[in-house]
Amino acid sequence: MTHLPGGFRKVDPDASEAPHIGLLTQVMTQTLDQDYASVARRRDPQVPDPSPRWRIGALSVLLVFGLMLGVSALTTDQEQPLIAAERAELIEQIEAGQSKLADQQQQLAALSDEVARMQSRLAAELTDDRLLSNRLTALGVAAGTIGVTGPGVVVTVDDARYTGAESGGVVLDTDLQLLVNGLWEAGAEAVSIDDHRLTSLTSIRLAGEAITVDYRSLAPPYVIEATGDPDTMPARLLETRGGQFWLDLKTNYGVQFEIVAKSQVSIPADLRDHLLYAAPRRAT
Amino acid sequence: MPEPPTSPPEGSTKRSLRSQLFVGLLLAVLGFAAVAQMRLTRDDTDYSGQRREVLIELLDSLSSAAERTLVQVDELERTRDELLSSSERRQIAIDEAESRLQVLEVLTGTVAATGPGVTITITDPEDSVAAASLLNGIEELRDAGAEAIEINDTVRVVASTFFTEQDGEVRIDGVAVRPPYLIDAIGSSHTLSEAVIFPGGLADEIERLGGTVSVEEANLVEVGSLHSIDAPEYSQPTEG
Amino acid sequence: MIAAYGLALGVLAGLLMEPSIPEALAPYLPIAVVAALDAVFGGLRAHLDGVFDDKVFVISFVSNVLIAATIVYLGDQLGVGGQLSTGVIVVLGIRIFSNVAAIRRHVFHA
Repeated sequence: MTHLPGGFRKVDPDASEAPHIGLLTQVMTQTLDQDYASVARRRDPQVPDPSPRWRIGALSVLLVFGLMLGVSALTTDQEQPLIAAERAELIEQIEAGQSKLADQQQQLAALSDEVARMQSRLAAELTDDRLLSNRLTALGVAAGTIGVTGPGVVVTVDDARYTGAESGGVVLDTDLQLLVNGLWEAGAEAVSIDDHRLTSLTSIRLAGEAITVDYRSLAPPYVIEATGDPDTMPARLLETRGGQFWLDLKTNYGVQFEIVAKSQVSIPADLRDHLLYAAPRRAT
Repeated sequence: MPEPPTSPPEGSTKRSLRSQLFVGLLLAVLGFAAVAQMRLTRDDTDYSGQRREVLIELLDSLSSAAERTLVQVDELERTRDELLSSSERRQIAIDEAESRLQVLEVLTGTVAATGPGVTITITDPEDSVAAASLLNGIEELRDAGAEAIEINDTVRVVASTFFTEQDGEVRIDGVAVRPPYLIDAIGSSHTLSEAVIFPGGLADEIERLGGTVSVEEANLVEVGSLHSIDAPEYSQPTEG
Repeated sequence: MIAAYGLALGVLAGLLMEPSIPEALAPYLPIAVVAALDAVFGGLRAHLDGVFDDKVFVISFVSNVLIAATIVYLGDQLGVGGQLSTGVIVVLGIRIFSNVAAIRRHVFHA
């Protein structure tokens, strides 16, 4: 033993064993308290055991140990029902949780199937919808419920500049009817008069002195626009009876009549699409 | 002199045999216990052999699995509800589109139509009724609210229908039509018939030309002829 | 042999008297028992080796129990109670095994 400042004694840890050994090895091999050995070495074999006090101490320690064992056993015994109850509850919860999870997973699978079905149906429907939409557009253009733009012609007509003296210089509804008729014959795809789309419901009439198109009174000049082939329509129009008639009107009555080919005309829609009397009859 | 190798004494043979048997028995017990435990571990589904900590861990992982599943279920339900509502909306749009389709088909003459209306019979004994007269008559019918018109059960009259004459024959949309002209028109029977017999109307004009006009009102007029539409080459729709 | 009687008496007393352990100490009882077991086996081996000393036995018993319980208690406060108690049990277990092995050598080969 060496003395250090402050009165601490430094005990040489290697006093009884020669080399320094690692912790694990020490734990595994030096399992008997070294004090036993050092005390036994120091004790004089001749001198009998000096202190009966310690012998009593050893016995009481054994008593206490026994007590500890007993109480320990007892406590464990007492805890058993609690432990068992807790286990039982845990197991119950686990089983409940598992069946609930199984239900949820079933629900999940069913939902997943349903959503997948809905989505694939949606995809199929999109195609149908597109077809329907295309058909609606094509029909709408033909019926006049959808506006169009494109190349075509603009025909401007007006009463003769000097009316009064020569009646006949006034544009009549029948004249416009013939003109429009000629345009259709010349290949027009859509026609409007003063931005009124001509549909199968549109009438060109005379009410009093004003021409009405689709029940609306118009005043000259009248602008008739039509989409179609701008290169051929003017000539074709003039070849029709209507066109010829108008040339006649122009020449003989001073009615104004002008055809201009255009790269872009705009024909509005007539949104009326309500039938009061007619219904489709489908073949069965 | 080297001693000959002695054979092992009898007693030690018996002892080594006994100890070998003992070892063998112990190993047998070990093997049996190992197999029993393995089988128990594999078949243990009632948790009676599991430690408390294992049970608690199991419970924890169960509840997080349940939570995850719940989140997934929620997400899927939301997706499904969205799909349902968009499907409902689509159905409404489809229904609307279908009814529009019907109207458009009647207007464009791509489907046969029925309804109340009139049948007008025009005779032309003097061959003087011109296309222009028929055209004017059609305009009068349109003015009177005719929704579907056909002539001679052959030609469906639509917006683009044009009337011409060739070789003394009336042609409608290029198709030759001969008198007597039968015009079927669907609309308000009364209004339509009034329009025809109106002074200065179709009847007056035809009679002036030497023909006759008779109008028959009916509750059910059939307009069966169809008009085929061509895809437009120059017109572009401005919507849709 | 008095030692054995003392032990048996203690066990009996513990079983019959049914003393209730204060709640705070209850978790440390098992560790204390294992630490005590280590000290007892150590003493038994020392006895068989012929180096038994009462004083050393008492001190080793008391210090083992106190140290083991203190270590586990500290561990609980630091939040590593489970790990420390495992460590203590491991070390004590090794020591018990080793001492029992030495005792066995004495008993079967003496």
